[in-house]
Amino acid sequence: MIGRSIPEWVAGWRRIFYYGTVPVNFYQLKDPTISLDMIGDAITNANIEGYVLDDGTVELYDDYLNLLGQEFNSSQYLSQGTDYNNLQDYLNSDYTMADYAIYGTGDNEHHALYRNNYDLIDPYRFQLSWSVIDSYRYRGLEWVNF
Amino acid sequence: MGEFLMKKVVLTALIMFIIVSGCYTDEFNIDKNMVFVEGGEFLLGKEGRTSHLVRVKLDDYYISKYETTVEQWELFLQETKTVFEWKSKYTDKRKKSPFPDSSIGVSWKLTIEYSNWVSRKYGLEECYIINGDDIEWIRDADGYRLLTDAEWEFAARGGNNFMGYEYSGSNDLDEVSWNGWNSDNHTHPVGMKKPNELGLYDMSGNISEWCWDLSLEYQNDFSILLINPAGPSLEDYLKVKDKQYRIARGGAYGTSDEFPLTPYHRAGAYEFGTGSGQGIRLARNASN
Repeated sequence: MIGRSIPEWVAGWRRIFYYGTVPVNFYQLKDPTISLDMIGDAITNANIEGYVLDDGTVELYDDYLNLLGQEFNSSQYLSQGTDYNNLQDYLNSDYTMADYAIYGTGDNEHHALYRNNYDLIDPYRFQLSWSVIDSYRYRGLEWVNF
Repeated sequence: MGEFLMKKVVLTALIMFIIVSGCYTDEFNIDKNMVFVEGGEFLLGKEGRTSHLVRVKLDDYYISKYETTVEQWELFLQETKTVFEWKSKYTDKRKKSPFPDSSIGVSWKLTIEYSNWVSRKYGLEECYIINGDDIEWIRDADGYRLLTDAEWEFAARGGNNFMGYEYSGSNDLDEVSWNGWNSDNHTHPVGMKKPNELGLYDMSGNISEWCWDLSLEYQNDFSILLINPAGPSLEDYLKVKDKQYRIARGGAYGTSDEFPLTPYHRAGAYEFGTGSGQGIRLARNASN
């Protein structure tokens, strides 16, 4: 699905080179060192523990985060209590579809991710490194519907 | 002085014996803690809150006032030599909740084995035939069993004494439940909060309670009266789902969303999981 509502320009970047819709995993958005395999194992174990219910919601949220922290070996997940409200909002689906856009001037590129059309996913808030953002470009190219 | 010391020792031993034997018998007052629930017809679900609203008619049944506790579970493990991993990889519920009369989270399959064991203890007919992962429920057996989804909701709402509370027994969540806001993220001794209209404790919160039914939406047809529904057959269920989830009701110590703590919310938990957040409340048929 093409994200037709992506802004055609953002400040300083006048031309859109590419846009598409990519799957974004919010565990990785929180901690880019987490691999897809680690996420898969964590979700499986969370299911086995009974934390993830059949509608995809999480009942025991603290225990669930503790499990993620240990599976991911991630201090960000283990240190609970801060900045998880956003993550909790997204727990209904492990993946969310995000619109991805590359803006450019010809010499430079600017990559951006959006949810719900204009809702920009701020890489700094999610502590994304630029190399991870860049990887979305390639993932996006694989998933895009031309 | 020696005689006095001897008397003191004997007296202390006697007191200890009474306490210990008292504790032991308390462990097995399951039959005395069953509450009679008069059956009836009711609308399962809540308008505007659930995707289903179905007419259900239930026979009379008995339900335990309390959730199954750690000490009852330990007795089951000892007598049946059942292997049970107390220490989960992620959390240790015993360590987090040191009270032996706290509710306990277990897998669905072990709840079935536990129910049969309690039936045997009281000389009653076992309700379940266990053949590996295949479980057959003998519906007219007089032993202990899990509740059906409909029986659970009816009882949580207070049965025919329904007062219209939002949670089981009150509109004040804190008054009736251990939940994500007040539990310190562990289970608590059963029966500490206010009971509901039927005298049942912890129907909201503490530990979510396994039911018999496989987790599938009710057919939303108001013209049908479901009599003693018990969910889909495994064969029908596997036509639409690829993993077996069983209904678990009432929310648990870590639930920090209000609706799952009401009598109306149906959750489905993985049948073959460890059941960290799902426990047991026993039931029995009222007549044969």
